[in-house]
Amino acid sequence: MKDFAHVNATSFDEAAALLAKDNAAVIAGGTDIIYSMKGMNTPNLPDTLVNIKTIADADYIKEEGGFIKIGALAKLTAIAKSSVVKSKATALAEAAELVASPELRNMGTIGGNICQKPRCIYYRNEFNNFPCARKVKGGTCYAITGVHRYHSIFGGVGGCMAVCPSDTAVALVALKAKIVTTKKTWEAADFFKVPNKEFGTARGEQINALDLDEIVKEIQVPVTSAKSTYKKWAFRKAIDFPQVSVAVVKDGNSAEIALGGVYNEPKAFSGVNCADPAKAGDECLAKATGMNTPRADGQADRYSNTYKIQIAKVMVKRAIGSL
Amino acid sequence: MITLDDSVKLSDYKVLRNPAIHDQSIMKILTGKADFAADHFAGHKYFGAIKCSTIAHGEVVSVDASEAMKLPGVKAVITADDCPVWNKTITWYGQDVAGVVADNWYTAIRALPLIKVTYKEAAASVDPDYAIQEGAPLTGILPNSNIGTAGVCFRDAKTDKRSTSAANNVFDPSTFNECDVIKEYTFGWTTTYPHNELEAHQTTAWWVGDDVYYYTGCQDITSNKSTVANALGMALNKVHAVTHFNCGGFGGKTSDILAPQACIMSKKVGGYPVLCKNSRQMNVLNRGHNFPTRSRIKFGVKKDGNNYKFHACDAEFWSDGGVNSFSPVGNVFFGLQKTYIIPNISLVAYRIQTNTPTRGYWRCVNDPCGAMNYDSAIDKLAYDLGVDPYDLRLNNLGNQSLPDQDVPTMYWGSFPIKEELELAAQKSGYKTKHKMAPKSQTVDDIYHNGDKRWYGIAITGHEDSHGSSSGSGRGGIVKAQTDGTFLVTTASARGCSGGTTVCTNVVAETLGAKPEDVKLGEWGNTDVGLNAGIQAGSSHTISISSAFYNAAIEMRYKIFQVALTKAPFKGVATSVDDLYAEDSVVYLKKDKSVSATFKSLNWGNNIAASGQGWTVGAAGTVDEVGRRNGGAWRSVGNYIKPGQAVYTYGSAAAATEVAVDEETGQVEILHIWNVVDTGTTMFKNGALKEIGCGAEAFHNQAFFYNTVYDPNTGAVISTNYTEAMFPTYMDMKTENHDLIDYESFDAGGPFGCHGIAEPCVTNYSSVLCAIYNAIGVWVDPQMAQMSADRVLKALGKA
Ligand SMILES: Cc1cc2nc3c(=O)[nH]c(=O)nc-3n(C[C@H](O)[C@H](O)[C@H](O)COP(=O)(O)OP(=O)(O)OC[C@H]3O[C@@H](n4cnc5c(N)ncnc54)[C@H](O)[C@@H]3O)c2cc1C
Ligand code: SF4
Repeated sequence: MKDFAHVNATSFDEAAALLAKDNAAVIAGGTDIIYSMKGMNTPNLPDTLVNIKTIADADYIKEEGGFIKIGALAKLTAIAKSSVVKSKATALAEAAELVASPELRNMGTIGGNICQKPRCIYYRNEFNNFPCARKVKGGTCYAITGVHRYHSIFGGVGGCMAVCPSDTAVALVALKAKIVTTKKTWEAADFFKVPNKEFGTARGEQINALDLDEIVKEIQVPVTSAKSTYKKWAFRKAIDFPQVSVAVVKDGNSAEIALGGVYNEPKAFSGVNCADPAKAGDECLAKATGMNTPRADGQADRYSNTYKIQIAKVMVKRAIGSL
Repeated sequence: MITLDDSVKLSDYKVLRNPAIHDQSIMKILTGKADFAADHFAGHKYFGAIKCSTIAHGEVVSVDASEAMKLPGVKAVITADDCPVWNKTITWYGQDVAGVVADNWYTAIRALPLIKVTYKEAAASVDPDYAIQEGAPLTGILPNSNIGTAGVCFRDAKTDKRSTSAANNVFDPSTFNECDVIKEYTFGWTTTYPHNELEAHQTTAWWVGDDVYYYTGCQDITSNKSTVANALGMALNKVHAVTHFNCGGFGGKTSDILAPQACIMSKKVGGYPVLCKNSRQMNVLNRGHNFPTRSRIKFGVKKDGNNYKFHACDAEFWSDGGVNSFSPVGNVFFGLQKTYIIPNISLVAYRIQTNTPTRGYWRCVNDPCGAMNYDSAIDKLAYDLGVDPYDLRLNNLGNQSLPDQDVPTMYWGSFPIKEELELAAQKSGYKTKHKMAPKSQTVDDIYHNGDKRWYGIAITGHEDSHGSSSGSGRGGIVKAQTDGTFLVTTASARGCSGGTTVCTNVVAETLGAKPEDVKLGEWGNTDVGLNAGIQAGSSHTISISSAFYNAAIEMRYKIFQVALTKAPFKGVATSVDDLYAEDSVVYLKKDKSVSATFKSLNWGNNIAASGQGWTVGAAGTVDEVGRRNGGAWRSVGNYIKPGQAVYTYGSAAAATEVAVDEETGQVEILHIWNVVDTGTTMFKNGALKEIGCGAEAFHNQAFFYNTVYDPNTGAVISTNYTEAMFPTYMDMKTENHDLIDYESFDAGGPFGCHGIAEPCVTNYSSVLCAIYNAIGVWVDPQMAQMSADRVLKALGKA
């Protein structure tokens, strides 16, 4: 485990100031960041962890001014169980409920969930054994010629084929949520643009566009009459990241759709005509290519991920059909 | 010479077949009282960690530890120059190259990247298909090639010749000309998975003068101790090895389990205790994995009424042994070879060497990969012939009245495979549920969108070579205590409560003691116990319990001799044959009113007895009442006569029902019925749990657990439970598993128990065959699982 200092913050501003000063990162539930610190999987790890769990009253869930407002420190379990989220932002409650396992949901916060690091099998390898493009300047992407079974089907961003691992991110994009930070208020779709220009640095490893000294304070989900749902497909039924997931927010025959596990960021489709759910599925996946490189000896690509295209089409169809 | 009448009637069992657990190991584990290797010297020891190679093939040119040594807390660095079990020639990515000792584990880990290793890299072969192509880089495992023949079986019915030697191929290919139908099938690479699901390996070692002591988690502490003694150039009596609880020891079996490394590290720091342990990633990188297998299987059959008889089979199996040139791939075809009557046969198993971590088997000698291939081939053949696969199987089974097809002087002690298949069929309702045509049945539509899930069912089963490993070296000691109770001791680890309960129960049954009067002494201490042999599943249970059985017979003789010298037996009984014992009371046979409790006999504490286990599965002759070597039950009938040599192997059958969502490729196991021949069920709960473990393990391996290799470097990159896809209860609902212990009363070991659990490999192929029955295509796991992506590929949808 990398050696690090641990500082308790009492306010978001204090925490942000600490981040600006040092090579530091915040720690919320710690379910993701401690994993990296232990494995020393990247050279860009922080020297200081600023604990934001000590900030008071930052785990609220309330309805206010046409929004469901959720403090960054709200636990995934609380979101999954919240009656207001379940009834008015169903997709988000369902996404939170499908994250990992009860233990991880009891520790993990929504802030941490939308700021977790990529889950690429090469990126996570201990001791930076695979110093890929995301972690070091001039690095290569090992997944392209290696194992890409779990990777993007819509091409890469900045040469990286990793997918957005967060369940809640997908729901937030489809629900057109806002993310309030210590610096500004983001539209969810902009928030999850990966900073590919900065690949090879700590910021470039993020799954979102936050500055290194910027902290998520609150999530705001607009309350509308539209119905929503989140469906997830993973190899296992628990403790598994989405290989394909879909959030649908349906208003009449028009839907906001976001796909997870298929691209570097939640893949958003706006105003999709969902009168025919199967057609909507085909439409969302029309541009997906997958990664499929038959071997030199003519054998099939063992790591091809084109299966995700088929599964995603069906999931869009079924998600719409369920509403 | 023992003169006691030691015959046991099954109906007379008092202790055996009792459901209660008498070994409290499980409670120790659950309450944190079990002492694992890492628990010793809590807070007062150094920590060791291992640096692994980042190339697959080449030489270590230099190791520069200067930066690592500067890190505060680092005490020492060791390299191949210090550690004789290490090699400067690298043959796989993940091989040990250096070790750090520090005052805590995290410092040791932090120091690893600071050790600079320079390599001279050589070209590597990490893919088994490429490794055998002409011009492929040599892996450095075999002298001139990357492939060798690992096992063969040839038979020719016309000349009545048979051979299991590669140099003597007696198979006549023209026998296919005599067949009515010939079919040939090929199967791609089966799944790969690690053998170390449990926590990482660890050893705590320290020195006292010239003696080294260590606690480790290990399945074969006796050979582990020899490895350490050899590596350190020490006499065996200077090495004191203890394994109390296995855990990390699984997957290493007989390998070093970090013991030599820990001993060398401790010596480097003045003999202070050092706990050397692997992180999960290091563990996965350099420990055992299962070998995948691909095959070509050709069958020739003759018409037999409405059914067919196998006439000829010509098959080749290729398995990737990684760097392990002893990888036991030679009997991947065991179940095919032994279960069915096939007069003309040519079975060849090849071992391919690649620059990837060592590969062995898990969990079975009769490897699941082989079973998956030949069971699939039989089902495929049956569908092609228009015969129900279950009927084709039954029509071609070997049976107990026949001698072994390869060694006709040998008979099978037990061959209940027909009964097991029939029981699986009966319990699952196979005959009413099975339809020959795929996609002929649907099950509940879980998605409410009119999307169908197709239903399939299949039954497979086979004789299993598990239980054939040698157990003759295993020894047990029974020691009488002053209070009339007994302690049982061996150098074997207490892997689980099942095996130990069987042992204490065997001793209690044989002595006529109350089960609670037989307790576990210290297990796993090589200074106290006898040779443990490898603790390899239930074959261990059989032979270690046979060791205790033999020790208990001797103990019974000794305590009866004491009884003859004391009231009320003195002068009344003249021979130990006049006495018997029950519930810890000795009785005069002819007058039950003459009795004395064990305790009242006051025998002191100097009575000890030891016994050796016998080889399970190998030849043993049957005596006139059907017992071998004092306890193994046999049915003596018209084909097994007194003096007949018999094999003892396990067997199992499985029926599996699946539902397949053709749109997403998702397979759901609806139900599995596992029928396993236990011989005699000596300890019901333990046996069912063991069968359950096997059932889950193979369900797991079919769909989830997977070793992922980077195809460019050969590195294992599935280094945590998420990436290795360790399943959860949600994925494998155990209430959907029916576990059936089938008692054949006819097996090796004391009282006739059999190797169980491992034979459940048949689940693996029954799942694959059931998927075929549902959707009409065979799924190629492509070294991974029968997961949705593989199903979609098979369906041409991905
Ligand atoms: C075994 C396992 C399985 C998992 N499965 C899933 C899954 O199925 N789906 C899924 O979505 N996730 C999954 N995860 C990830 C887990 O859900 C997230 O790690 C969790 O939500 C993170 O929350 P946390 O509070 O523990 O974050 P931490 O670990 O504390 O932080 C994670 C990252 O976010 C940053 N961060 C935290 N809070 C903030 C904030 N308010 N503002 C800015 N940056 C912040 C930290 O600096 C750090 O980089 C899994 C994790 C594990 C270990
Ligand atoms: S997909 Fe991205 S994170 Fe993974 S190896 Fe490629 S560049 Fe690195």
